[in-house]
Amino acid sequence: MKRYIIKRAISFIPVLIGVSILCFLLIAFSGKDPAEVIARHGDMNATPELIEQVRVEMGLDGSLPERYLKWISGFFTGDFGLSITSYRLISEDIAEYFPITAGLVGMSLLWTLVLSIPFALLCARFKNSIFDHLTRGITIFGMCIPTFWLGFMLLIVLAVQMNWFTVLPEPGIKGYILPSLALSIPTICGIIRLFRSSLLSELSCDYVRYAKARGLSSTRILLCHVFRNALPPIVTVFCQYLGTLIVGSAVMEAVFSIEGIGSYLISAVLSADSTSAATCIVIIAVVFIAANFVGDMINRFLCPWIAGEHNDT
Amino acid sequence: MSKLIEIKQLEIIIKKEQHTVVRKIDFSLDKGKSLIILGQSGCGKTMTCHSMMGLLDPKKFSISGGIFYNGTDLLTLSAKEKRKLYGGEIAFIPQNPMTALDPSMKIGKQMLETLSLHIDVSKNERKNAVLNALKKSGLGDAERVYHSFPFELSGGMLQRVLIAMVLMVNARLVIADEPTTALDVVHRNETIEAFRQLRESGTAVLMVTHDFAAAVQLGGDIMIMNEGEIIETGKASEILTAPNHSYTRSLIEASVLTANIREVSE
Repeated sequence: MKRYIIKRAISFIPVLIGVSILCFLLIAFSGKDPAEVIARHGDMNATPELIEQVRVEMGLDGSLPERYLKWISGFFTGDFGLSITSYRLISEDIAEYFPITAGLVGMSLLWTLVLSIPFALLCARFKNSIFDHLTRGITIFGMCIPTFWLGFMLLIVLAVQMNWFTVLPEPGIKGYILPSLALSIPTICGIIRLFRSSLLSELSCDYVRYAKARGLSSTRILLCHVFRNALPPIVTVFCQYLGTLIVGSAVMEAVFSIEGIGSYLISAVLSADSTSAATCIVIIAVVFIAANFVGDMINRFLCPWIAGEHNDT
Repeated sequence: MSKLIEIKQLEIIIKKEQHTVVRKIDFSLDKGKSLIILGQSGCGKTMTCHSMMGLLDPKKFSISGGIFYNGTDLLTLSAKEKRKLYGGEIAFIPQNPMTALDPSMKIGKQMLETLSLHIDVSKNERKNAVLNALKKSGLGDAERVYHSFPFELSGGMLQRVLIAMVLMVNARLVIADEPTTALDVVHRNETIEAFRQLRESGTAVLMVTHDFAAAVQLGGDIMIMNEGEIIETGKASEILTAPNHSYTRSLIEASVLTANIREVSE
């Protein structure tokens, strides 16, 4: 297992280097001169000398490799430079906005876990029942709904009409309930469909037939044997959703007026703040890779035969 | 006196296609005896086995007739009553040992699970009971097998584990569905020997196979099936040396031919 972990960790390095180079090229060829933007922010009539001075101060006068190394070292020192959107240190912005998005995505994942697993289990246990058919219809509908529309609908119904929530973000967990729900509903529906199908596929396996022949009840077979073996595809997709949810949170943050990393990324892109945007993209890439790695580890723990199949324990 | 298991007018129909796979067959088996159901693939032998084990989905199959175990019709029992019998008094050995066990659960845990359902043993003695059964089935390194996952063992070892489960629960009737198909010659001989020992200890053995060599080795009674019907029944030695039915003869000839080809190729 140790060998596998080291192997996987090493395999992440080229991926991260690739992502960071692509993001850096985005900064370099964005066509916007950060030194000029910063100089003009202080003085609209900034002279070329002043702009040059800012460029030197910010270390933007070096060659591309030098500038890349300086920027990438920010991920180790915490100094990513100045944001031309907020005129604050990018690290300060990230420290402020990232926990908000993490809370939103965390709660969305919690909704996904709590709602999708029991529904999928019930659908598989009572396959082709009215409950199964009804759930199928609802989940297909749920997967097709655009999240921004769902967000607006939740706001109109639960905040404006029922007055259970406020339209503007509330402090604490309550402020996360509606956006996380709107963000997670398509994911929940997708996972219900996928997990049901995974459970049914496992239920047709030989070991299930033999478990029945050993005298085990259907419920016990489903919960103690089939459930665990049906989890790996769900764990993989669930971890991939983590990255998708962070990016998707930008829309929800805009709908619910939340200032998270998603909306920060959007505003950085809109104002051509390529350094902030690239820094955010690399951080999201790190989270995405880490989530996939954790998913792999969970799968190996749940189903040790996966490691046996690949013969790399 | 009633037989241990008696099949009366058993008929199995696939509902969707209205296709009859087993046509009103009758046979019986007493304790300490063995019966081998022989026939080509698709002749209905596995369906017969599965119906006896309650493994056929009533939504897909229509089953009529009677399967009497000690005089009780298994087809009329509730799910709870069936669970008490299956895996305990009536044990099953499936066709492919490699896929018969939960791949994510250790062998020992799966055996303990079966044991606790059927045998009243104190918690402390359970592990010993499992280890003893594994040793009895010929698995010398029982402790290692107990802590292994199914994918860590060979097909032959897994077949032994399945036999150990039968030994562990003191089954009175063992139904084995082509138990030698997935095995090499050495493991096949060992498995047949294990069945012989089971029979000698008083357990009734019903084996379904299309492997004539295995049938000859096990001996006892033989029942030839074709297209869902029993076409010939009798002692193994009699049927295999002097078959009455032309189908049985063609089966034996095909089997001899296959054996010869195997011999030449080896």
